[in-house]
Amino acid sequence: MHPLLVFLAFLALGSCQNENFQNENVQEHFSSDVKMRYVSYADLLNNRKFTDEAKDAISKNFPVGSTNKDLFTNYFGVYIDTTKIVEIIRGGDLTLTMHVQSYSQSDTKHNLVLYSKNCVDSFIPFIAAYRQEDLAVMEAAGHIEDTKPTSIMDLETDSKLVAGPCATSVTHTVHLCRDANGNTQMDNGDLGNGCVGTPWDETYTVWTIDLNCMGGGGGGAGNPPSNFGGNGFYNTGVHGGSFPNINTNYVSCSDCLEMTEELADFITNLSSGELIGWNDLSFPSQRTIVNYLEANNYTSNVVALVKKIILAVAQNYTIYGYNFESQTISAEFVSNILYPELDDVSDEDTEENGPDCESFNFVQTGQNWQEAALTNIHFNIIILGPNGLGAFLVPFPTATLFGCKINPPAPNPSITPGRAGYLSAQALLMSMNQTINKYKGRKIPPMMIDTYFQEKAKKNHADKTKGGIINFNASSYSVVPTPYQTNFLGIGNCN
Amino acid sequence: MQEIYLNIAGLFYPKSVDSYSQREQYLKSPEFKRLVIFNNRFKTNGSSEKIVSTFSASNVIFSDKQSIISMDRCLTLEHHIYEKSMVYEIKVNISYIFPVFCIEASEITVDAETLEWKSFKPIQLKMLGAKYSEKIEKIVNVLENQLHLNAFPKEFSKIILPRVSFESILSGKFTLYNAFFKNDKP
Repeated sequence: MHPLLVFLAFLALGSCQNENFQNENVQEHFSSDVKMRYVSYADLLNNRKFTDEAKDAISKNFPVGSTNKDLFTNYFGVYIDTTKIVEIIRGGDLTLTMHVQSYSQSDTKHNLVLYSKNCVDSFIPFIAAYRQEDLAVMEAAGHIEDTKPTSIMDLETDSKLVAGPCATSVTHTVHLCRDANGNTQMDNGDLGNGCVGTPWDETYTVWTIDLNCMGGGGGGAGNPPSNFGGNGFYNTGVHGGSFPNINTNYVSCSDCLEMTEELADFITNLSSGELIGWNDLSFPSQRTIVNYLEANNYTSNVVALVKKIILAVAQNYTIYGYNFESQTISAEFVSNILYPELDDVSDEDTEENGPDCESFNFVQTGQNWQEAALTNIHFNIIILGPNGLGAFLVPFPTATLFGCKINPPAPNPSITPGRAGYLSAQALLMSMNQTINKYKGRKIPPMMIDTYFQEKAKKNHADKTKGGIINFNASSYSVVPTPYQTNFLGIGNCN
Repeated sequence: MQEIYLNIAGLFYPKSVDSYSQREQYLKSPEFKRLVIFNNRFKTNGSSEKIVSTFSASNVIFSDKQSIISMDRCLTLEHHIYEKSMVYEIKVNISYIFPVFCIEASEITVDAETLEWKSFKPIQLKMLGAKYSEKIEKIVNVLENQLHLNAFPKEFSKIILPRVSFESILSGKFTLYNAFFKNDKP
């Protein structure tokens, strides 16, 4: 997912052959001459023409100077939510609409609208503005995307047009369904279109803003804005004598980060490698980072550290291959950024069945010493592997030797063989759960899990048995090893 | 000095044989067999009894003596000091593969009501304070002058024996402390 990309409004895109953006899953869905669908950013990038020209534009314009705070006079550098791009084709007019992340404190939301005439011309960038209060009203009604734009501005000329009387709307119904992965897609009614379950309909309003309306001097009631009125841009027919009809539908962003000046600075100052890492992060991961940056006031050393992490993501570093612990940042924080799947692992999945205390058969082996050996101790932990989250078995196939005193120094009570088994089972269970809680959902080499578990088990066992020992892989033992058994009711009662 | 310790350790632990994946080969190696022989001899020839009686003759009484636990490379003598809300444990480890000893101390937190021990935390000997230094001096005196043992150089504790593994200690983690005393340093 690419929730937030630094996206450049490109001025010179080539031919927009319809098939360039064709996606098998989505098809026309309107009853009239209007076609509307979602285009994925990946699809756009897969269009070679688009990629070449966008790349060219990016290399020329990147990075945007941090002093350019005015979104509208520096049109070539705006922050766009690229997860939701709406394509509307009506007659010969094609538009791509997407949400603009604005960091200006205003009561207006903006969409970037890329317009192409006859699907052969270059794209012309426009900004559609929406009043917050209008959006609120429509949101309450459950149709925020049908909000009427208040104005539209041509970024090439900075000319602004109040939409008012020049905007007309058409309502269309779109048939939607879910695919096997649960994603919403358009239902074209064909067999084998990938739809699963019952399709449903949603009605959308497409607003058409007729630039001829103002340009031709007609339109009646609207007051032409001063910066548009007399400059003759549309009158002189810069766009080939025929003025565009902008068809658009409000694109909102629910998962967008709130853009601040600091965040904008931070993103624009990322190197191209870091930018790849940033765009690879999921929204929750980006949110974690932004919260962290804000909590630390974007101080330069914190920013430098976060950039390292982002770069690590881009270069697919693993958490253990990179020594974050030595930094002022915790491995846990890094892990939360790299592996937000962590939260998907519930405690129910990972809670281990208790080792049964009856697995242990403690036998006196010294004057004040008892031992038991257990084979095949094991537990499961869900970790992040090459194929995603999966259960991983931590095995100790060879005999593990447990030893403790029979009579620890006073005032500690003596430890019967049953009690020794009970305490050892307790220590094992405690260590298994500590290990699982530390590493579940992480990308972690099995050896680290082994080592951590062994250290915890030794410590817990020593504490519980007043100085007992555990020897994983003991080379000799005088007791007969017994098999490890689990008990889903807990560790049992062997006292 | 360090070379001597490394060479002696090399007599008891095979190099480049993995204690997990080459377990059979490890247990059959001449080095491991030598360790087992030393272990059995020490357990059966009355050495530990002799050590304890030497201490008692000098009025040093330990609260507990541990026979050698499985393949530990040392005899451990324990002494416990009870204070109001704490117990201090002093452990004397005497190696049976070379005449060296080391002394360790732990701080044990106790349950306020039952006085049962709760958890162990290793501490440095000097943390025990002046009032126990006499006791420790006495112990060291017996070890050095009557049993003719040398103090194991502390600075060697963490030196790694390359390509040596033992039981659950992996290659690259096996130290001189492990070689002469126990698997786990407190």
